[in-house]
Amino acid sequence: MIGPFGHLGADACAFADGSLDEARTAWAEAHLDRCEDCAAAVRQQRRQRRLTSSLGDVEVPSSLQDRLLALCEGTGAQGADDASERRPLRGELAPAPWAGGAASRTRRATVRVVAVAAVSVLGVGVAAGGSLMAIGATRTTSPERLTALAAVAPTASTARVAPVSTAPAADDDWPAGWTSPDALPDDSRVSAVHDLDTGDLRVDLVVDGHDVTVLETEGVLGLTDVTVTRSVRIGELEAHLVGDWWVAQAGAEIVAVTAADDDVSLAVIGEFDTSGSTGVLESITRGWQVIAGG
Amino acid sequence: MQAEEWHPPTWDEIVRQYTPQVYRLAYRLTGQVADAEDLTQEVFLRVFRSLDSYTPGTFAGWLHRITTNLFLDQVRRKARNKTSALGEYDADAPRAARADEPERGFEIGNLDVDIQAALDDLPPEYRAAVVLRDIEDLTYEEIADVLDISLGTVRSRIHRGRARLRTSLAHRSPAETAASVDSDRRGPSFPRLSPRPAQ
Repeated sequence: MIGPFGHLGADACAFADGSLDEARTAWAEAHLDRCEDCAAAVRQQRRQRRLTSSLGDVEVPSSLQDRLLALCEGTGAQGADDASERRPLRGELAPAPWAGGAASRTRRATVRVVAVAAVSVLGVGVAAGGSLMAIGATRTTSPERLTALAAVAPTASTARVAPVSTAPAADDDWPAGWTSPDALPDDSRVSAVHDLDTGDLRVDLVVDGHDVTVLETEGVLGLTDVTVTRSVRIGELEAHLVGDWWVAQAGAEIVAVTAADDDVSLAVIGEFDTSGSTGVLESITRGWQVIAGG
Repeated sequence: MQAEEWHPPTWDEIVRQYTPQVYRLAYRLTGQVADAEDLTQEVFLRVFRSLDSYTPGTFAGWLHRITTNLFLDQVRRKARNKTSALGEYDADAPRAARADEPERGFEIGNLDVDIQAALDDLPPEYRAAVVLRDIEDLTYEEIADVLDISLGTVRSRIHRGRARLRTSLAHRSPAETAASVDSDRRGPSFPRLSPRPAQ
């Protein structure tokens, strides 16, 4: 997978471990010669692997081994013959789910049910969780389409660079149809606003020194054909990690956020939660949502 | 020829040969002696139940699969019964290093304690991928098979897991890990935005 803006992205670990295929490895080597960020990422992956693998071995408690050895007492395998004592133990175990070909299908299905159940238990109605995942909803947009927008090179005509300060930009500096936020959190500033040809908005933020890219578009998030690495819940929102992007349905909009640090991405997405939140980015959110209304 | 010579191992042989592997994985995943013992025992109960389908040569991989998936199932079961601030698994909530706990007896030095504590702080899916790769030394393909996920997802989880470990370790004991952790790109952690009253 090629990361955003043509960088190594999550392949940094596979490259560091020598697990990329030949073509991708060749591409990566050429890229690393000219991209210090990706080269640093590869070095960090290697260092962390060395560090984790340096963990010492663990000693098995002898009482545990004795208990494990005792599991087979009474089965005849070791010559013991107390079958009556053995039987209840076997009876309380369900059939092993990994035995046989049908088992893997069952396990996959279970995982899917678990994922949906987790969403519903966490405070969202089952219907809400279901509709988010539903295929065929009107204007379903895959995260790929949205995040592909990030690769659109901002041209001089579309890029508007807001003042580099914590003071909010004037409305004139924002794309037509959008109002500028009237407040920004401390340590946050807008570095650029791009009105993309597709009608979508891209906002580059610097939050506490971290670069954050935010994309917004109107539509319904479709997740059926993509790989979701993680899902978390923030207030009323469910954020899903697809590739390097956290995506979420916020009202009538889809929001996608990427940053080097997941916590930063999630904090920014959290600000789109309008459920009675008084978050300091709320006004930004309101401004960004103008486009959804027309 | 070899097949004629081969006899199924006795239970005693299985336990003595594979307990260290299963227990090590269980301990690195759970981070607790008691939890690791429970998980190991659960794994061997399953093994015992399924001895009929034992095939030589596949046992180690089979044990990785059982151990990891039992662990993840348990974590998910617990998560369904609770909600936390971020609404994710409890394991996502930062936990303090517990070097002083008598339960935690393996780590030789503080760095081992810190690394395990940082592993404990990872989301369980990330932790499983990193432990299988960096401690158990499985290939990406083997991890994809064990976890039943795509190669792309394996890469993503390992990549993010290691990056989080690095950040976590940098905050935990900067002095000791300074030699191992880059400091050039380390920024301060993002302060949670605190609600401000509406004006």
